[in-house]
Amino acid sequence: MHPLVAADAVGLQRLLKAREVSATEITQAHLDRIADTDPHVSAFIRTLDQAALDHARDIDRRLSAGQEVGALAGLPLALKDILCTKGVETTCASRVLQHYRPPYDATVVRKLRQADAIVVGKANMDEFAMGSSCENSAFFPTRNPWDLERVPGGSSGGSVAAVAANDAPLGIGTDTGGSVRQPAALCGVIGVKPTYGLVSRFGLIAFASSLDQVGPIARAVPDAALLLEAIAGHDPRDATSIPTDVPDLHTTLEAGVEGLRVGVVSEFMGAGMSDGVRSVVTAAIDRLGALGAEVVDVSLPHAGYGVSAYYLIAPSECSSNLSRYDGVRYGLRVDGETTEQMMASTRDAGFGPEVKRRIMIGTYALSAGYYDAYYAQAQRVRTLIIRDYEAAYAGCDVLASPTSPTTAFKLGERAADPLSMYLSDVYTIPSNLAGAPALSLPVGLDDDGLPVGLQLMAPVLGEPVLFRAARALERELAIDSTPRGNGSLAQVAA
Amino acid sequence: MSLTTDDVRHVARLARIALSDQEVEALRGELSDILAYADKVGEVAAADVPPTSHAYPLRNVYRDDTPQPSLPADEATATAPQAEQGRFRVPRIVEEP
Amino acid sequence: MSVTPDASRQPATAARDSGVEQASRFEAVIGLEVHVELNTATKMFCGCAIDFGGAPNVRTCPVCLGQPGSLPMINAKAVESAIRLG
Ligand SMILES: [Zn+2]
Repeated sequence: MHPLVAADAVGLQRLLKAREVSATEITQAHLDRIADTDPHVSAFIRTLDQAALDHARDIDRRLSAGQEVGALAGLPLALKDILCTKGVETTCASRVLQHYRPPYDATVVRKLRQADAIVVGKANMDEFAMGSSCENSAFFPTRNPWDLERVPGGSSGGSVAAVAANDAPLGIGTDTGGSVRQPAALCGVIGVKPTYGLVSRFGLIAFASSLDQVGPIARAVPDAALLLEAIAGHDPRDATSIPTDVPDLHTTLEAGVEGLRVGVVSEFMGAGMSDGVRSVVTAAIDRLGALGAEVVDVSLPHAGYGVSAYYLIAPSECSSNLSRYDGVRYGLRVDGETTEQMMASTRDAGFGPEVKRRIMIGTYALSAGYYDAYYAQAQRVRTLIIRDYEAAYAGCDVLASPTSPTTAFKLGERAADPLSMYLSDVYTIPSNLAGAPALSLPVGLDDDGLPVGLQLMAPVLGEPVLFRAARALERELAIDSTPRGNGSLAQVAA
Repeated sequence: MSLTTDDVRHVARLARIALSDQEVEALRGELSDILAYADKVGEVAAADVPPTSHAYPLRNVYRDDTPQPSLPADEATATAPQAEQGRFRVPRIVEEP
Repeated sequence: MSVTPDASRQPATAARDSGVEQASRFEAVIGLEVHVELNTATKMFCGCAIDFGGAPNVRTCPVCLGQPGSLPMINAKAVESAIRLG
């Protein structure tokens, strides 16, 4: 592997600032890496080689002239294909948007450009971010770099697999019920779901508006912190954007965990988890204790109802958000005799099975006579889960649990059973319902040599302590994030 | 919770999706299973628990009444599957008399 | 608004009378839907200018076109006007 693609983002920045490498060299090395790996991994729906190189040359020119460059200058980044890029196809991995070229940039995309990140491609995902395996992409599934017969997780599977495959040191995903954290766990990288409202949703193609949040993906905690600081901040175009300063993650990043109270969520350590996940996660939590954290048990009594509440709230909001795909103003159109027939045929042809399933659940849950029993009741459960977290944080600084009950599963293994797929997100969903930040940190491998993720959670706007705890454990464990072993990318792309 | 095929067709009509018979039958079983699972929300949270729509409540978020640039004229319909003279073209909505 | 039938204004034929008798058992409730054009400079949910007489679709943006990913943002002046109107 080329040393420039093995390096993390902070290391690349150091080299660039010392003028030991150019942004063009960094970019070209990653584009070459994508050419080697992507035939096996299929992380990208579209690569943006020319635009990436043009941007890199512009950065080099500015560096040579002694001009300012952004905080992410020269760092290649895989962008989930759910964020609008002006004039560049943004598909949401759906047939209904297959040729859609937005007339505007998402706020996050604008911020990434201003920070001089190099967007190397638009990454694959489950259609409209609905799924936990990347198999719901309308185009092709993405594969896990640790075992190409296994899923990378989802929905941000493309961005995560790209970072794991060293196609880019940074990735952007979105997390509605675990869509950044679960694939990060399954691919052995770091994935963060920030506080709801910390990162603008303007230009993020909506799935469930009260839950959706953009999050960073990286192979090192300081890299993820760098990326989050660059994309966070109030946006007057998003009414749910929190009017607060960008969080300062770096001041306390290396402060260690001594004196922190870490609560282990009892409800997330019970049945349903694989033995491998349990032993690796337990060992990681013990290491936090050895580093000086006080480890205590906590209870989130209503967390077990999170999946039920989620599968009413998210589909309800989705059925409303996706009503816009009617074949009139953008996207696919299938002709029909009447306008209504045109719309119904367009939506039948344009949406895949999982998207239809969720639109149908949501439409049913919001239909006359069911609203109180379903949507309103799910929102009451949401209140109970938020109260559970408040009680837990009265005695803890951060909470810990596995990110996912299992390591990466085989392609096709859960495709026939939607409910078993939904349960992949049992530990991640409650943070979305509570609007609170959480991240997944790789903490070891199970007996099959597959990565296991530890989920750390913090109160709303508690990102500094979240990153601080993750960084302390990352330093202690010194995990090698390079995919290796039987069936891995290492066997087909050196 | 068990849905009939008529229930599924009714919801599909509301959702404006022209499902095939095969899809209707598959969805009947899948939606019944998922809703049975989701039904668990009824086990907790009495009516006195207030519902939460957004986890981080913000109030009175407005925009100033100051005009911003609109899209250039040719861009408004550039994404449309069918456009004509700056307009979005759709099948006839009003019947001939 | 409620309306009580006024006998003096009904036609005097027998057939119609029985119709009036029947009708008088109902209370007419009439609702008025009043549309008011607010004097705001921009639309309700986006910053597009309100300006009449232009070519079609020239006062549009990603928000009012409902483009994927766009988000509405409510016009403060419109809210204030609505409150003033009561
Ligand atoms: Zn507009």
